[in-house]
Amino acid sequence: MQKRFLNKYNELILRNLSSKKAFLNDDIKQALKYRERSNLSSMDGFYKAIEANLGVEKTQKDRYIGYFCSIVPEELLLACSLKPVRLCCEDYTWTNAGEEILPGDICPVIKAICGKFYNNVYDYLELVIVPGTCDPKAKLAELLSPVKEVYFLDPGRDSDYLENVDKWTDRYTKFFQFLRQRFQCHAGKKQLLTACKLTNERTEIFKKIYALRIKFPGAINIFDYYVMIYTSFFMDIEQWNKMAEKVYEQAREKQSLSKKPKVLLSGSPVIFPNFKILDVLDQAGLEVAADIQCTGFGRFYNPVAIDEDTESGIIRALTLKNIAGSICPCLLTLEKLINLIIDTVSQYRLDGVVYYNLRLCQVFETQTTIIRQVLKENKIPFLSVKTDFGKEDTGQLKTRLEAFREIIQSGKE
Amino acid sequence: MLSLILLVYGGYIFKEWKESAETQQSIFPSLKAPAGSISTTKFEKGSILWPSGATPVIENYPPTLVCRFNPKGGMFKACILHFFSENLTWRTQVKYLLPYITLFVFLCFLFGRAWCGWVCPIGTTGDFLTFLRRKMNIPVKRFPANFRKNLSFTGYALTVITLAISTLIGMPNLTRYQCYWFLPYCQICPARLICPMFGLIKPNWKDFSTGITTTFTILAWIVLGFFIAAFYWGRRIWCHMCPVGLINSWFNRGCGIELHKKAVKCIKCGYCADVCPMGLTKMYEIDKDSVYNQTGCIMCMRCIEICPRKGCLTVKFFGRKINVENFIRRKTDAKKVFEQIQ
Repeated sequence: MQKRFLNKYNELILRNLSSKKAFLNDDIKQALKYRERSNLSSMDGFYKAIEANLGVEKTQKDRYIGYFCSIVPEELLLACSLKPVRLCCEDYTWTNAGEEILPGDICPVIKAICGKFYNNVYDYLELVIVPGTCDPKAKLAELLSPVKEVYFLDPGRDSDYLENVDKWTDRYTKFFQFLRQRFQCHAGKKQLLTACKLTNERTEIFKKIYALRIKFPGAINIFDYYVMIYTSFFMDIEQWNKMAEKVYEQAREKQSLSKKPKVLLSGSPVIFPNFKILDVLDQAGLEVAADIQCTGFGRFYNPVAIDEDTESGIIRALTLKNIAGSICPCLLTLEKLINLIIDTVSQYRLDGVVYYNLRLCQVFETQTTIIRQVLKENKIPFLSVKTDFGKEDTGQLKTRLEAFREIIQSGKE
Repeated sequence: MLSLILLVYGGYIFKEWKESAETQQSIFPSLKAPAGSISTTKFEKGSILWPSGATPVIENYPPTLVCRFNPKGGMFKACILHFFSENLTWRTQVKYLLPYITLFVFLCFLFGRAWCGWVCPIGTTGDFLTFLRRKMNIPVKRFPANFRKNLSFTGYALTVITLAISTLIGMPNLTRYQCYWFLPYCQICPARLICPMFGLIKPNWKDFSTGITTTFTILAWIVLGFFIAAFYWGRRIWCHMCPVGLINSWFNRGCGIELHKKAVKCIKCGYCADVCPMGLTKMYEIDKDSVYNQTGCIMCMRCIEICPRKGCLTVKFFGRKINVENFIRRKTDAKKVFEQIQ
């Protein structure tokens, strides 16, 4: 079953939009310089993995499937012995490329993705899974359908477990059936369990690293932490687990309390190579001790908790992990997010919350007001910053963050 | 598991204690049928209520909850429903019953309905059926809340009818009905057929001697069929209408075991409501820090075990916090499942 959205106009769109010249990705080359700041030798493997992912062509043997958002269950793809690649990207150069296709006032992530696809960066993918989380993502399914085969997975906007769990299970089951038919495999209970085991191991390691960082943020550099998260988008999970374990072992010996104020970073996801906000935070003298974002915390924190180890039971457990437990602002999850922020801050005695808004991403921005009100009531210092991938406003941001640091420090005394 | 073995085969371990309690004066008086009562004949070999090849059950043991039809059964004699219906028929004086009732209430006050989740032999049988279903990769059926509510009404109705019949046939003019209507619920209870098998004894499957016994036999088969189907397709559906569980559940709120929720920790992932074998959702729904004991809860602690947020759901026993992970290690635990496939 091949699902295309613009059957009639595919050729027309392709003729007009594709065959743009390939852009040199300077951003990533610059970002790889973060390697020099790292104090852990075991991080080498992750940086090498990023370099390897850039140039080398993929082997013919493996079948790569692209997906967006943590709503899409990796485990189902893994069970069908496919290689999931998460495509969320925040490259500045690719955003520019995307602007030749799309108008300027559109989410930069979507522009970057479109830029990449229409410049044949993702030729090796066999299928792209687009979830209907935010509005631009839903349109992305149609935008990408001329270039690649697209599967559209819609979780709905209501994140209440009781009302929606059957609907979600139904959609995941259909998705799994589609994968089995499309790739001619006979994945069942056993394969699903193996896949869940892999991702649960990853969750366990991530939890350890998260707990270590929240107490001793200096042990693992914030850039290293986000590089680890980014590499998990495309790396083999087993390999990632092994390398992350090594990093954890090495970092555990380097526990030292820093005097910098510890903050929690929430809001839009920060994805390699766009480490601008991290850079500015670092310069302003704030230490990011924890994140509550859909790339890091939201993706890894929940394990797949299997109670009914039947095939449908496992799929149901996956919906709980990926949709009901998600913190995606496109679903109705604001209460959950506020609870998480207050709980994390009070439990680990963090000094403040920085909420990062990506310009033109409305869902994150809309809920900022409510978060600010609630945190004010709870006496937690809160700052929301709004920026995009461009480097123009770096100085301005730095001033604001330095002022925030001073507020925190004066409040402490 | 250990508690189950103790309950089912405990008769051997507690044999001496039993005998000493029988001969000496005990605080638990010996309850016997009045002399000349017809009901005593029911206990003779070959009657419908008697498993074949059984030794007589010594009758002066605290009425907690194992089935009396398992003759090797533990130190306890019978379930609370059996106890009431038997003694209502015998018209035993209340002063003899008081020690038993006090003990029952005391145990319920300590543990609430924890019996159902941890030691009940029928529940364990049912869990075994559920285990088989999972192995055969048959998806679980989730029944709507209304259906489960109706089941518990059925359970209450059965309890009331049983007690009413037991009282009626105890009246002096009506004793001749005792030979057919004695222990009416036990005659259709699936435990009567299942529990003897724990003691490796053949239960009495059928009695077609008269019209009434035939009706009871057929009813018992239907109920057994429902019992097996309920455990096979769903999880713990039977427990919604089990009269003993219903009587226990009155003590669930305010018993020694308290289930706490800390609302700020909750991320509404729904794991707790999804694993609940009784299909309860209160622990998912409440939005403030509070105790969430509810009547349907069988205290299996599955929700606490599976909650991904540490400190969100906790259990306290008389104010002392208990770490569930220390003593629960069940096969359905996610980790255990993964160990199996390696």
